[in-house]
Amino acid sequence: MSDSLLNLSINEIHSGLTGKKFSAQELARAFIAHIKKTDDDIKAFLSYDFDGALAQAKEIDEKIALGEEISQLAGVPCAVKDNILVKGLKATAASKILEDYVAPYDAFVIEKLKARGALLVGKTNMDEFAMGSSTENSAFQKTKNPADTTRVPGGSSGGSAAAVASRQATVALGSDTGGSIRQPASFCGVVGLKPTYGTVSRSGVMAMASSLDQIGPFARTVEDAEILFDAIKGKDRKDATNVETKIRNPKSEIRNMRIGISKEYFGEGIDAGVKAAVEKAIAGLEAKGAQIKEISLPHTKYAIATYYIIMPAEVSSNLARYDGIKYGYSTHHRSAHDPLDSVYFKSRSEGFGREAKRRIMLGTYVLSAGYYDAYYKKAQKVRVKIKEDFEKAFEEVDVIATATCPSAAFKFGEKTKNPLSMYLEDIFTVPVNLAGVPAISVPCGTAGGLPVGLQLIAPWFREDALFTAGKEVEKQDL
Amino acid sequence: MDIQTIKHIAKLSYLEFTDEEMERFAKELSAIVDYVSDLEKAPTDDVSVSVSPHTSLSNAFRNDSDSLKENLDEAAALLEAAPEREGGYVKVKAIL
Repeated sequence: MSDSLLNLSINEIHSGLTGKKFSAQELARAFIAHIKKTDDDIKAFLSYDFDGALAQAKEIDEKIALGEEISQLAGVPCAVKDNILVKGLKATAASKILEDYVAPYDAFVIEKLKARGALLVGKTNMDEFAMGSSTENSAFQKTKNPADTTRVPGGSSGGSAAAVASRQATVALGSDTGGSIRQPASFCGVVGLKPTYGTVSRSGVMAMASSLDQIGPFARTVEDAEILFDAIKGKDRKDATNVETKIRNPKSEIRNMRIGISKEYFGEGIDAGVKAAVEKAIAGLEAKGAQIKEISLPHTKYAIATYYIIMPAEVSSNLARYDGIKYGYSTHHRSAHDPLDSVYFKSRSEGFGREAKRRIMLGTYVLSAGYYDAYYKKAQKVRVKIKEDFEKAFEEVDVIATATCPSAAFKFGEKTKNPLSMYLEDIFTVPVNLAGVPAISVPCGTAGGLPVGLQLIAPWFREDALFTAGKEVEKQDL
Repeated sequence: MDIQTIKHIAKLSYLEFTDEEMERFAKELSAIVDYVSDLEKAPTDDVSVSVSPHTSLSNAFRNDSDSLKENLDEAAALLEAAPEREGGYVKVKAIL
């Protein structure tokens, strides 16, 4: 009984609770027992909130007993990436500089989930401040890929992807700045959505690169990802870039859906097994009545360079707030004679990990006098060209299909020695963030026994097209 | 990027490094900067804007006064996180 609870979808949990087949507390206890059994090995979580989850479950059971209505997400176990604030719980972003930091308020998305009665079981591991593609940049632990524990789960939301893949939670929240939801979803064999920029409030998520960051869901099915997305989106005045969807009741069908294939995404550098799996999934969509069209996104080759200027520039500015004065790791009490700026220098140098420092340095460099025009301003212009590529493509197609990543999950340590090789991992995911469009990674079979993800990209605010096409991919026998 | 540049950027970033770390950063950052320098080749003469707003944003205004009372607890919790406080303020060391 308790094992089968771990595999339920959101709707199955809802009907099970309302039909009194099991209680929310039984469900919570089954997940907690499973986390305790598996997480010593997987290490998906940095901290747990079992008491909070059980208290929430008790409340839901009381509501059901009284015959009150419960929300669709009530009792659904959810893991939360550790850069998203949950009031009263630690929020470390996997950084030593926030090792003992306790969130003083809830993120907007957490308010939404709490109001709906989701069970927040714990905070998940990640690359420090969401900087990385393997979760190896965590200051605290390495998370294993449940599909092959000798390999990384991807990153930066590796803990959330691994938690959902190993049934430690039904769904999870992550953040995606250059692929940090889609790439780990692909590596671990689960669904991951990066919503349209501005759709989900960033209030309460630690800022990494504010013009690119977006919170999104992980799930085992497209339907569950859709339900979680619907729950966390919406207007929030605390995020000035937050916008309400203008499209009313969008509807899309797979029949006659025009799916674009860009040659820039299928060239050299993509693993043969990954390519074959992705092509098979696309052929499956064609068999269902979709039209496949060749398109071109000619500025794709500049996307990584553009991203590795704009992102670190924003990082260097956003991470200036960690100064040992207001919160977090501080050398303030170390010596009475130290002047103020030594608190800045020492707190930051001792608190930040290597990748965070690397990006702060890079960002400070591209923004510094004499280099600003050549790097930052130029990158902003190329970003416009990349966005225009997508605008043009979406005049001809409804959805673009690519591999989420050029290869399947790699081994621990394989890419840590050469930062540039780790950066190139993001080649297929980064253009999406630069343009602000939504994209989903859906499992589409395996390559060499490892999960492969199909990335579907839609025009601004057309997540509905991603869900329609994604559900068709799920139905295929891959 | 030479060591002099690394030293200058480190100072601007409020970061301190050992000589060994600086050498490693010089090497790694040079490789990354070489790679991103490829952007020079991208034709952008027709792009007039230097920022790319990718959603239709408008200014969001609100009254300066609302919800202040409810936020007092939150303000206290935020202040609580500072290493030293005095009378509702964060206390810092001497600047000079």
